[in-house]
Amino acid sequence: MEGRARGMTPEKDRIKVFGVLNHLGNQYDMLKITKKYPIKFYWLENNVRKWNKFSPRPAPETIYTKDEFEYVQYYEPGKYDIAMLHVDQQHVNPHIGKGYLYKQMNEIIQDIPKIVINHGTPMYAEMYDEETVINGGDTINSRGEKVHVKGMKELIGDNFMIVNSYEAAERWGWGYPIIHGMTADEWWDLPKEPRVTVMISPGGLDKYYNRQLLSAIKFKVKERTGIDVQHITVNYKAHDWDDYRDFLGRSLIYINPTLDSPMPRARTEAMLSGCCVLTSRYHGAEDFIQSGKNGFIMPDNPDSYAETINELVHKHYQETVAIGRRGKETAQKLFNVERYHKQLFKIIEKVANGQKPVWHGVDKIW
Amino acid sequence: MVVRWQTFEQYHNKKDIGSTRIRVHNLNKFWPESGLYRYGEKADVMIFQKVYCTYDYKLPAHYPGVRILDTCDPDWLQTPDIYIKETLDNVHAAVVPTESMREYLQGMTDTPVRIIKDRFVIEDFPKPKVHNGELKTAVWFGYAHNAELLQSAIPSLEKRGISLIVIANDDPMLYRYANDSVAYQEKYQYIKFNQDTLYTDIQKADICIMPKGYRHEDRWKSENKTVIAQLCGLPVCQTAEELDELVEAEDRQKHIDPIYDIVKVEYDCRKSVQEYKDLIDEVKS
Repeated sequence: MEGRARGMTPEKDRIKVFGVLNHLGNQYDMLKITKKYPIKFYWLENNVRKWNKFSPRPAPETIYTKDEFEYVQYYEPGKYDIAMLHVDQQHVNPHIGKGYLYKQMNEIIQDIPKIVINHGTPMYAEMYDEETVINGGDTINSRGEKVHVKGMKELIGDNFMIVNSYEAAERWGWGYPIIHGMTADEWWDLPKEPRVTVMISPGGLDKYYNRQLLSAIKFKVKERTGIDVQHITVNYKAHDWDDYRDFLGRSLIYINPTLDSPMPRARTEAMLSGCCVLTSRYHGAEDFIQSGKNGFIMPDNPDSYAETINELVHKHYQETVAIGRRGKETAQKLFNVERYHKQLFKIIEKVANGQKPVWHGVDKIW
Repeated sequence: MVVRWQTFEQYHNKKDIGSTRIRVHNLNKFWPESGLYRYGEKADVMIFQKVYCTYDYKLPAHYPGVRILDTCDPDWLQTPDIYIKETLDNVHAAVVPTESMREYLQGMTDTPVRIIKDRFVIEDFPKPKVHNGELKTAVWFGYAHNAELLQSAIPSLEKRGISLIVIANDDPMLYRYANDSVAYQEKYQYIKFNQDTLYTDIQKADICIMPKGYRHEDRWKSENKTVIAQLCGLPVCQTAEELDELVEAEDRQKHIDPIYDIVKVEYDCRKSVQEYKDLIDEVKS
């Protein structure tokens, strides 16, 4: 399948995937699959998830042919082979906009198998406990009213669920993990400035992203080293994707204190950019990062981050650059787009044919 | 024929928006083919209610089939990222509630712009108020941010000893505009807006005051609040002089009875449904 398809397959011979934009970075790399495998994506125009000229990745219509990708205005039964939808733990909140997008599309699409990519984990500490996120239950809203929350199990139903890390599959209790992949040469390894950078979403899911620790790290790093941690989207606003890649590519150190984000993409982007990564241990980080060799696994302690950063930036610049280079090699090997597309295509092909592959917990990429 | 609405409520993920309730939900109760759009749904007719093309959202221009824009507020005055002209040019028809909006929007497009008034489910209203005794209480209702219009009316009410009920999403504390605000606060009552009790709350007063708006956006406003008050059986005053003519119960009753007979026919939302059906037929032909 892989060989015969390369970039030449006409639309009629492609697996027709109906879907919608969700996570821009994820889908930027996902759409590239159409260049190698016989897949065409049809994305619903909608007001909740939009890709436009200001988005930090080139728009699909500027990259793909009509045989590979197009926007559509509604779902047409009988036209597509499979649907690909997206959720995260916030979708169990009955009032959230992106939740409506998933729920309504899930209702409308009834004649084909559906893959649902679950980008999160059951951690939604600001709203619900994990049991409620997974299985649903009753909760009390801010007005003191009893509200029934549909858990992820009910939201997903019979759909096939993909998750982003092995630990996410364990935490949800089901789901097929596919670890992301990226095109290595799209990330720029540039001469490193003595800069410490982080790229974590600026709002929502505080515990999941461990923002309390991040705030403490920023404070301690400033206190110990005099360096302002550059938080992209917060105190450094990249103008576009090139600016983002340039800024990241010139950063000596990248920190990732997240508590539950399954395989943070920005960490991989930093590794591919040759940054020396200091990361929390969760979601398998310990399986591919060896402290002092190709990055650092850090305890959830701001003093540890501050002390390590001080040593690296002020006393061991050259060694830090070398660690970043080895981290880049690790990322090129593990998080390559070819492996990702191969795994994803295998799943799409099987689910489109009515199968539901089960992950047995052994087929890991490391 | 499947008719679907993408509403202001859906677009902004809000609840209980007056314009969506009046111009969409009311009509859907009497229009079996019509309903709220669900993402991904195919419809023969899409009506975009205060949903416009923007730089990154073109569904109002791209949706196959009949496309209608329903706009009831001058959103272009304060929202720079909406493309009203592009939307008008790319739909088959536009619908507005007032002649001032029709005239203005028609001036910028060849797309037909028609008036479909804000109308109501008449059966939802209680029996019209039967007036007794002298005028004691006036009512005003609406969004709190529009309540400033009453600034000059408060001293007039104060002078006449008339109490004021304000029904709004938030308390605009209008008694502060009285000459003796401490004393007038005793005659001031704020009721939190609740659609379920709105009409009976209005009927707690003898008269409704709706001073003429002086702001730019008031030029475009529909008469929907006036009609709501009239369907509750209350005369509506714009000035103190009008109010002075309605002090006696008999005068108020004589004033409102013929108006009520007209508005209950003219502002029945079934009429809007028929107007939409006629418009769709016209567009299709």
